[in-house]
Amino acid sequence: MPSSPLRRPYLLLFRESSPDRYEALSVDERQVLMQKWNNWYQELHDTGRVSHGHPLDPDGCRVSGADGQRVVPFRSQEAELAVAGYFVVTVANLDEATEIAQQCPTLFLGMTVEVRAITECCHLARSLQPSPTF
Amino acid sequence: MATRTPYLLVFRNTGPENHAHLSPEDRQTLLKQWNAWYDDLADQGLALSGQPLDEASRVISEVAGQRVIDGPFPEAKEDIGGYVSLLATSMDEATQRAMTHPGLTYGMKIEIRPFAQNCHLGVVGRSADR
Repeated sequence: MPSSPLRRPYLLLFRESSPDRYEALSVDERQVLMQKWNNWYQELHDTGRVSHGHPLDPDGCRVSGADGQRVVPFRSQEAELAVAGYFVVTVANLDEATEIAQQCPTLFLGMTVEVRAITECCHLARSLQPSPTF
Repeated sequence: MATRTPYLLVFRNTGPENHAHLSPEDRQTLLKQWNAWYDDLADQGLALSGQPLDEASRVISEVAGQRVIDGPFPEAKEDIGGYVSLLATSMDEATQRAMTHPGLTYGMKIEIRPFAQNCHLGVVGRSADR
């Protein structure tokens, strides 16, 4: 994971709040949005701010239960704010990640972008570290 | 050999409250099991990347991203705590791998989503070198 004292990785999660709104778009409008997305990604890539990004298949499955024995289908259409895709960006801080998120071309169609810092160490590991002493 | 394709494993419901009742020894054991689960996949070249996420979150929405709300959102029981990109020959194989995750015992749920070649608009996925 690219990281430096000045820049750190953030995950941008793109969520659809109302996927049905895309159905009203014409082919030309879809083409324009696709081009905007691709241009946006390319610009972030060319300026070294995104390392990778991917759309996700809207369908999948969910595993839960003590031994993972509960497996149920997952359908984005039936889920609230399903994740549609993600970027991993490497930026100076949360504000820069926010500025990038605000450029998302489909916000006007109800998309939301969740910004999360990628950490080196999960809270489980942190809970086992000795408390800092002063 | 069957072709392997990437799947995103999204770890949900992994908050500190899931492990608060565990003793430090039990937490240490779980942490070791968790790392061993990932390392085993990584050693086989099946786990491409995996990271925990900081609990703090910020959600951007509305036209021009004018609505900005800072979390965490404790009411979001199925909040995302981390992810792993996994190579598998099928959804069934990805599911079998997910089922062995030690965190499931403590309430974690794993959402498995195949990477799409492109989104419904036609936006293609990119990796670092493209």
